[in-house]
Amino acid sequence: MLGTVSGRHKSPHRGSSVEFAEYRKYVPGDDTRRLDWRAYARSDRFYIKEFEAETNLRAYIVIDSSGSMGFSAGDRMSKLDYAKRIASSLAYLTLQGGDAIGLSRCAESGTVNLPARRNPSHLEVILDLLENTKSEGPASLPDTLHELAEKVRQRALIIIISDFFYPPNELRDALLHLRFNKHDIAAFHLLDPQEIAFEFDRPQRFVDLEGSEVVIADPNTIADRYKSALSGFLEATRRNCMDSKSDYHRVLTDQPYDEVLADFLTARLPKKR
Amino acid sequence: MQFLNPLILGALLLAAIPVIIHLINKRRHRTIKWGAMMFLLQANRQSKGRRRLRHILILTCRVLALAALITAIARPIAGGWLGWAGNNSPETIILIFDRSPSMEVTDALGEQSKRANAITRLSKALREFGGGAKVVLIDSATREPLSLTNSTKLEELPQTGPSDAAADIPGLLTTAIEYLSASPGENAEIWIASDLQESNWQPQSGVWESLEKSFDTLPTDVPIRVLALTGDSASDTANLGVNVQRVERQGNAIIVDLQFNNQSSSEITIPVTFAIDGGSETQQSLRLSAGTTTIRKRIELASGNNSAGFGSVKLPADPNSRDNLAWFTYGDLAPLVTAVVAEPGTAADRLAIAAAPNAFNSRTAVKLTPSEWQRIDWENTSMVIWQAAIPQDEALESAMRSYVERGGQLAIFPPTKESATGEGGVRPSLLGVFFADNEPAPLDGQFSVTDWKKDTGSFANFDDGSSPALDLLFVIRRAPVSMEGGIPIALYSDDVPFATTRPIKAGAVTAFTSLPDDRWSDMLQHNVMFPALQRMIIAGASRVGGARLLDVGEPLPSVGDDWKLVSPGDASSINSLVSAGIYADRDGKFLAALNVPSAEASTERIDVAAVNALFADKPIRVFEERVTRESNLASPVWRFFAYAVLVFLFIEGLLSLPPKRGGDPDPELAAF
Repeated sequence: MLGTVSGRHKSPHRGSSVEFAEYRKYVPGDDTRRLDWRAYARSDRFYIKEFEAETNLRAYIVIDSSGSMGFSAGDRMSKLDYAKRIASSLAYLTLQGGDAIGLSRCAESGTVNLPARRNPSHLEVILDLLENTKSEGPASLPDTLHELAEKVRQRALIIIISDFFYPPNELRDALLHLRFNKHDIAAFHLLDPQEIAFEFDRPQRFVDLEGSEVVIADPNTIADRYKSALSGFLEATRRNCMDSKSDYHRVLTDQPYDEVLADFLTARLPKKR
Repeated sequence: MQFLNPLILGALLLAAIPVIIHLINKRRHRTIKWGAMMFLLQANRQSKGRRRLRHILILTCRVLALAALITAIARPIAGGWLGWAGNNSPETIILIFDRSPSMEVTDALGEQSKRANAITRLSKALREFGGGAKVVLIDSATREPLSLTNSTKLEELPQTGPSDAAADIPGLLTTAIEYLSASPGENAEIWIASDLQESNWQPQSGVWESLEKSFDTLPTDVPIRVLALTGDSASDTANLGVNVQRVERQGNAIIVDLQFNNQSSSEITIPVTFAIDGGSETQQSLRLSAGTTTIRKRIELASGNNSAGFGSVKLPADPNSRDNLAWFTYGDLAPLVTAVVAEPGTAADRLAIAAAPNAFNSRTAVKLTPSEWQRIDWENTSMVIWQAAIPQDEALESAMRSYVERGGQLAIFPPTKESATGEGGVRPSLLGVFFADNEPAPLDGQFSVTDWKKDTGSFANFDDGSSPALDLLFVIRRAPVSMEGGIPIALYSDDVPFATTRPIKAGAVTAFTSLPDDRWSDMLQHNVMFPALQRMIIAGASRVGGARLLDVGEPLPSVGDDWKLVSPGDASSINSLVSAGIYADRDGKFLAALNVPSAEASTERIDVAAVNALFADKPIRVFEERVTRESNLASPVWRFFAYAVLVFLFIEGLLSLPPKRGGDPDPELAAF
C-alpha cells in the first residue's frame, strides 16, 4: 500500500526497510550504494538488492445513498443501513490500524467528500456524516467514482458500498477510471433478498424509490422477465468488477454483516507475505 | 330469438361484475416502494402488450361466461317454429288451422305437406311451450271450436286432416273472437297456421274492419301469431288443378266446362281421365299451357240414359293431390221449371217469356195467379217469380222460405197495383221484402241505372267480357223496395236500388224495382232481364233440381235428412263439410257434386307485410316458414349457452394459469 508515512502495510515501492524483496540487474542510474558486492563477487555481475518498503494505508469508503438503497422488505434493515454499518466498521478498523480513512457519499444533492485522515477523532466526523445520510432520489455513483478518481492522486483503497443500480456501462467506465489511476478497488454489492426472489402473493403497485414511476403489475406474470433482467445486470456488474480487478463481494442484507466483514478482511490477507 | 323467461335477462347487468371487481382490485393493489425499478420496468415493458391482451381475454371470458349463464337460465329459443312460438305462456291458445287443399302441397323436401309440416311444428311448440295452456282448435273445414286435452295428439285428430274446403280466415277469426268473448278474462293468444293464400285471407274484404272492431271489444289484447307456410314445393312436377265450371245436359250428351290450372311456367301434356257414374274410365291427352286453361268437353251418355248422374275428371299425381279430382253432376232430361206467379197482364207474359223462351226446350214456365200459389211444384221448380201484391199469408211465407232455404231462387217484382196495408199500416212482406208506392219518373226524364255488380250475381259480365246493358235501360216507373239484409246489386243514379238480393241459406231472393212493361221500363228489350232470370234459373236448378255443382263447405240444399256420400267410396272422405265428392240425399233423388273451390288453385298469396297490415295495431308476430327442412326446426338453445359457459370458464382458467417458470435456475441468481 502506498502511503506518505511508514506503516504496517506493504508499499508498492522498494524502500529501505529490513524486508528483502528481490535482486535485480543493475542499470545505469541506479544508486551504486545499493549494489550487492557479495553477489558481484560470486557471479561477476552487478545486482541491486531491493527491500520491501512498508507504508501506511489510505482508504476511501464510497457509500451510495440513492433512493434504491433505502429499500427493505419486512423487518430487515435497508441496504443503506447495512452499508452504514459496514462503512463505520471499516472506518473504525482503519483508524485503529493507524491508517487514514476518507468517506465519499453519493447522493441526489451531489457528492460529499471527507478527505482521508489518520487522526482518531476523524472517526467521529465520519460517523456523523453516516448518521446524517438518508436515502433519497436518484444519484450517480459513476460520477462520484469519476470525481474520486480525479481527486485522489495517491494510490488508495477505494471501498464502494452500493446496490449498483446504474447502467453497467457507466459503472464500468468509472471502475476502469479508478483502476487506471492505480487505485485498489473493493466493491460491496448490496441486495435485498426480496429483490432477488421477487415473490409476492398478489398484484402490487410498485412505486419507484428514486422517481415518480409507478407500475401496477402482477409479479407472477413478470417474475421470469424480471429475474432475467436482474440476472443480466448481476452478471454485467460482476464482469465490470473483474475487468477492473476489483475485489467484488455480493452481499444480501440478511447476511450478518460481521461475517461479511470478516470474509472481506480475510480475503485480503493472502496479499501479505 | 325468444326467451321463455325474459325477465331474467335483466340479470345480464350482473355480467358487469367481473369488470367491477377488476376496477375495484385495481384500486386495492398493495403499494410497495421498490428500488430495483429498472428491472421491473424492463420486465413490464417487455410483457405489457401480451399481458394486457391476456387480461382483456380473461375479463372477456368472465363477462361472457356470466352472460351466457344468465341467457341460458332465461331459456332462449331461436329460429324456426319454436322461436316463433315461445314467449310468455298464455292460459288459452286458440289454434286456427288452415287445412284447405292448398295446404296439401308437399314441402321443399317432398316429404310432407305444408299441413303436416304445420302440425309437426304446432305439436312441438305446444308440447314444449304450451305450458298447460288450454288449447282450442278451430279448423278451417268444420269451423267449430274443439278443446284439446293434454293427451290429444294433433296429428291424430280428424280436425287436422286434409280437407277440400277453402279456408275462410276472417270467418275463423270471427269464431275465435266469439269463443274468447264467451270466456272473458283469459290470457289468450291466437295462433294461425296458414299458407297465406289470398283467397283464404280475403284482404280486400270489408270483414276485416268489423273484425278489428270485434278485437277491440275483447277485454284484453290478444296476441296473434301467424305461422306462414309460404315455401314452394321443391318437386320437379308442377302442380296441376282441375275445376268444373259448368255442366249442361244437351239431350244424350253433357257439356262440361273444365278449368285447368297449370302452375308451372311451361306448356305440358297430361292424360286426363274421365269417368261417368263411377263406371269405366276414358282417358284423353290434353296440352295445357302455363296458367289457366278452360276446355269445353262433350261427353256422350249411354243411349237411353234419361236420368241424372255424375262424373269425375282426374289428373295424374302431382305435389298436391287434393285438386287433381273434380266432380260434376248432370241433370235428367226434365225441363227447368219456372213458376211465374203474377197478375195477369203484359208483365206476367213477358216474365214468362224471359224465363222460358220458345227456343229453349229445356225451359218451362208455369203461369199462376197469386191465389194459385199452392200449385207450385216446389220439388221441381228452379225459380219462382212473384209479381203481385204480397198477401198477408203465413203459409205462403213459410212455403217460400222453405223453398229458398234449400236452394230455390225467388225473384220478386213490384205489383202494378199498390199492396194493401196490413195491421198498423204496415205492408205485408215476403221473406222480408216489400215495395213502397211506385213512382213515375219526371216527365222530362227517366230513372237511369248507373252502377251494378259486374263480377258476380245476376248482372255479372258475360264470358266474352261484355256486360248486360243496364245503362241503356229506360225506366219510367219504379217501386222502391225494402229488403231486410238485402245487398243492392244495381243502383239508379240517385242511389236507389234497381235490384237487391239476399242469400238465404242455399237459395236467394232477389227483388227488382221495375217491370218489363211498357208503362214501367223496357227491361225485356235490352240484354238485362233475360240473362238475369236465366242465371237465377240455372242457380236454382243446380240446387233444387236433380243435379248440383257446389264447392265443399257450401251448404247443401235442405231436401230432407242428411246427405250421404256416393263417390268416392274410400274412407278418406268424411262429410260434405270436409271432403269433395258426389253426395246424394237419402232417397237418392238429388245429387250434389262438391268440389275443391276453384280459388284454391290460385297461387296468389299475401305477404307478411299485408298480414301485419290486416291486424293494424294488434300485437302480431308472423313467422314465415319458407325453408321447410327439419333442421330449421329450432330447438331450445339454452344448452348451447350452457356449453358456452363451460367453454368460457375453461378458457378463462387456462389464461389465468400462472406462467410456467423456467426450468434451470439462473446461475447468477442460483448463488443466492
